[in-house]
Amino acid sequence: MELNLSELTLEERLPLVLKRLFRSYGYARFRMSKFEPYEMYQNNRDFIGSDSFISFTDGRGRLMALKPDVTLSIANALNGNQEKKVYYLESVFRKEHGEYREIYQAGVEHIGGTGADVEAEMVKLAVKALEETGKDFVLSVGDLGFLGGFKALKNLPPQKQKNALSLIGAKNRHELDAYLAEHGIAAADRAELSAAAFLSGGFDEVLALAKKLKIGEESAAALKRLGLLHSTLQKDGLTDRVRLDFSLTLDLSYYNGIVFQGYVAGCSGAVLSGGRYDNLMTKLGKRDCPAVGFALRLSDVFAAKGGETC
Amino acid sequence: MLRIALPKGRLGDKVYGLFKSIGYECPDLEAGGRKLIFTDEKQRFCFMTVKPSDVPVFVERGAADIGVAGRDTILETNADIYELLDLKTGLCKMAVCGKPNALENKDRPLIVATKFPRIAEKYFQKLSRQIDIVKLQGSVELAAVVSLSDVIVDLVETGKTLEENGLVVLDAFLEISARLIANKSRYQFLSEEIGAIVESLSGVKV
Repeated sequence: MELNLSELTLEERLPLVLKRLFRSYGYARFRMSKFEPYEMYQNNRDFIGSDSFISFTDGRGRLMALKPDVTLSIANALNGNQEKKVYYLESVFRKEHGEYREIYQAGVEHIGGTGADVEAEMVKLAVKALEETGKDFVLSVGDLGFLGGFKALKNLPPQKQKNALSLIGAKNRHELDAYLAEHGIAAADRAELSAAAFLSGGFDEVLALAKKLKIGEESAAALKRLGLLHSTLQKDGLTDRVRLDFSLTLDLSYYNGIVFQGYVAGCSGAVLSGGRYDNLMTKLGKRDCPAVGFALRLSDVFAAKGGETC
Repeated sequence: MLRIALPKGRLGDKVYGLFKSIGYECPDLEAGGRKLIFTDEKQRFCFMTVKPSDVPVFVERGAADIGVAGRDTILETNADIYELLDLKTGLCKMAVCGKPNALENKDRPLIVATKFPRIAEKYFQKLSRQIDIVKLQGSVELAAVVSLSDVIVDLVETGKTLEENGLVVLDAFLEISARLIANKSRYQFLSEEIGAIVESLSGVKV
């Protein structure tokens, strides 16, 4: 009996075509249990970005949580010495907008792989995954290494750096400047950061503008990486699907380097989120272990209806 | 079609004036009436008038692409939105107010009446002072006058209401003004038009 994909609903079709997509790029399925010891999530709260996990005490009296995240478990479980490419289709459980929710996610992780190709492949996969939703989408790419190289951020203590990054993430130019001034950052350094952090637009255009800016070594190295990414995307004709947006920020203690987020028409938040998270690997005791990946919130994609929001 | 959320009231009227001056004129809106959405004749944009404290919610959830909200409502709702421009209008301060000696008794939790529980919590947390929050919807100054609370955390403009009721500003801790905000997802798709609006508005004399 022939099964025509087009006969399926988006809910039925999307997981299947994503599985096919990930497998075609050499990713193998990673399965996991519904609950894990609470401790692991508590120690890495900021990575998950949620303060409320659904927890319970198991038969042996241990505090467990309904898993709020998959990446952490994968990062923990995989041996850092081998290169591993895995994908998953799992539900996670979190409190969002005041409600406990089950969020169906598809994701990929590439652990232990080095080289610019790894990042390019990840971004390509993200674009293709968004394409499969059949909706109008935008993928925005940023780089924490680029931002981190600016004097205005570098010299701040961690909590203040976090606050500054938060303002950058909200594209809040005026408050960022006021905040940095309040904490003694010189006007010239503030201007340098602002000129770069709020650049966003087409990949080609923004990369060209960024190259003309006054930047330090670290930021220049990040731009070089982005340049390599650009050439790879160009070869596959994908540069017009991807924007560069330096205001994209994720927690610096976990993420370093490239970060990206995907938006789909009809959803009010980012439905895809990913980046390079070498720092998380180090935090989990796996030193020098490069890791990059992303997660796509399928529940949100399914809830998006033309014009309405999730 | 660009959907713009305006706060109901004086601020909304003023902000509409700013939009009108940069090319977003809407005769439909000026005509008034009981409609909630006012569309441009050429269908390029529409305005929706929203309760001021709800503007960040409409924008965060994508019901509006952009909107104008006071910094107080943005902080109170903790909305996940882009804050693109300080319109430098609707100026006032967030302050702790009360009778002159209201903060003295440190032996028991301070009773704080406010429309802004989140902002109040954050402020007193920094002072490591224990508080008991009484959430009110309006006439907050009254709470301090009749001793429902020791102090209030509220917006202060001229300070006249406080003065006439024997209250003083004990600490004005936030500068408040109207901000142009945008939905994060919609911004990605509409960055050109929104960017142009930010540019034009930043050049307008308020």
